[in-house]
Amino acid sequence: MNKARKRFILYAILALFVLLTVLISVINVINFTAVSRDADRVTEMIANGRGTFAREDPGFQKGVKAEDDGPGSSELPYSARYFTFRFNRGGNAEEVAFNTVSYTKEEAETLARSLQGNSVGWVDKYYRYRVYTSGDFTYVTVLDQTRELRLSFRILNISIWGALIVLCVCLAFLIFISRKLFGPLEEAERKQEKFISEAENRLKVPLTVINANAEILEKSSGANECTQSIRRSASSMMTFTKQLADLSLADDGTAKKEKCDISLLFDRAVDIYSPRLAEKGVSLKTDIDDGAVIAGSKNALGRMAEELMENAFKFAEKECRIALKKEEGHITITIANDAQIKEAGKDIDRVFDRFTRLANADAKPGNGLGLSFVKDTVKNHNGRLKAEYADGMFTVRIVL
Amino acid sequence: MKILLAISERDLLTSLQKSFELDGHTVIPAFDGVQAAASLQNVFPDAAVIYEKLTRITAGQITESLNKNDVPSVILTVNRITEDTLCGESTASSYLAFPFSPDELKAKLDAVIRLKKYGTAHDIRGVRIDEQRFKLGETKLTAEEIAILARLSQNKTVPNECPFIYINALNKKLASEQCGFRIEYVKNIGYRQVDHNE
Repeated sequence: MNKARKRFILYAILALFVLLTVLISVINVINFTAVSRDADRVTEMIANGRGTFAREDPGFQKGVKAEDDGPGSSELPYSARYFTFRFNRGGNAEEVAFNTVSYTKEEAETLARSLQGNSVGWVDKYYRYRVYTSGDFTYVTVLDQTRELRLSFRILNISIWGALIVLCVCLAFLIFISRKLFGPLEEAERKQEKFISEAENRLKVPLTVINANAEILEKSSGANECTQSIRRSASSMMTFTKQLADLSLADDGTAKKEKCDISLLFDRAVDIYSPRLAEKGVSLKTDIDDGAVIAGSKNALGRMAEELMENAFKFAEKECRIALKKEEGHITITIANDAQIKEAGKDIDRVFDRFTRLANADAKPGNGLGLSFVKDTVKNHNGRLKAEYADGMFTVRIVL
Repeated sequence: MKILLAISERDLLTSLQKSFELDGHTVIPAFDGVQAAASLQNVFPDAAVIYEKLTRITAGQITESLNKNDVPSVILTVNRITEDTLCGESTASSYLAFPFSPDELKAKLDAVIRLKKYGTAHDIRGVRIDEQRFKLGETKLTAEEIAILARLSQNKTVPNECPFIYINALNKKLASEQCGFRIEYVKNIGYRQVDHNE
């Protein structure tokens, strides 16, 4: 499965997960809030009746549908399971109401006594209580909400399992549908890679033959403009096919990832290119932290360092700077040189596209593949990179 | 010098044959593996160049036959040379990837022939290295790997540009022979031997 397809499935599932989580949360929060609110209305009614349901309460008049067992229903005083104790100033308890609850009277009194300092809330998981005063007495009413809360928990349970099932079904559906959607793309990508590889391989042997024959001609008949032209062109094509082959190094997702000291890889690249830069009259400033280690392909990362230095060597006029910094959880690499770029434009990142060369590159050798290799290597190591051109300095910033 | 060219690409075989003959070498051309094997019945060359996609008898089989008679070989490959190539079952003395110039091939052949003629056998941290047979203990080495080890043992620098694949492949082979050291790049110094416990 290619990266684009995996990313599509992942983002789609994540979006669905967030949506379902929000939906389930909202539904269940509303549900639980409604249960609490209804319980509070009932305890308030009980409080208004000073610990029990007052018959004169308008909600208990005949005419209200019997099956509506909510607050105000005529069935409520009979279906509500609650108890009320009142305490005088001396702390003595008196039972006011005890309507079919599973507590014994002693347990109920103990519980009521312990709730005296509070006002309203939940106790013992399923019971809603209210503490209120009337005259010299403090009343504690505890209302059983087991049935309502169990129903709410069941709704929560069903909604979570339902969401999980929906997620699994959607995941299966996405995997199936993405195969149809991305199949042609993956196939096109595979064909393109195969074509490039085949074309590359079919070029390599004939190029070698052309170069060898040009050399033979020069040895047997002497060098001339034509043979030199053949050799130059063959050499250029040979370099190009080698660079194409190197691109496969950057793209090689199967390469084993090992611990790489990227500081050493850049030190090596600097050691290779500093004499060449010095010979060209370019001053090189380096600031490379030691011991920056990442998991990656040593070959690809080492070549990346070389390509960056090669690019700097080709285009720097007087100045080149390279910095490698170990930071919290990542490594930042910055290479800057004073390349003269006309019409850099805002989309300077196009330098990372294959075969793209900016205007200043025309006079220099190259095929526009070096920075493309850098980009592919950075992407394969889950990094990011950016090019900038400002104040006469071309800068590549990489975060790994 | 007698050189066997076993290459299943007619034009390439012809070009390289002419190139070597112009330099004064004797070339034994073979268009496929059967011709290569037949020519080995008559005379053994000083070195061989084998195209990896040799037909009828594989390059690997021809190379094995050459190794039994201590004839160094260079395999020409259209694919990128990787650590797997260098550490794999194929036992050539050196590898050269297409496209290449005749001078590059000649440089490789010179290197393997020089080792065959003048290579020495000595111990390196208790493990026998036989340059003429391209071996470190029981493990096959390429000419490039032998050159790296030779420079290090003589305290000479290994060029910084030395491709990683040779260093990585050599480190794997040193580990498999339990040599007790590996080769690492040291800032401002270059490649050097580093003990495993360093």
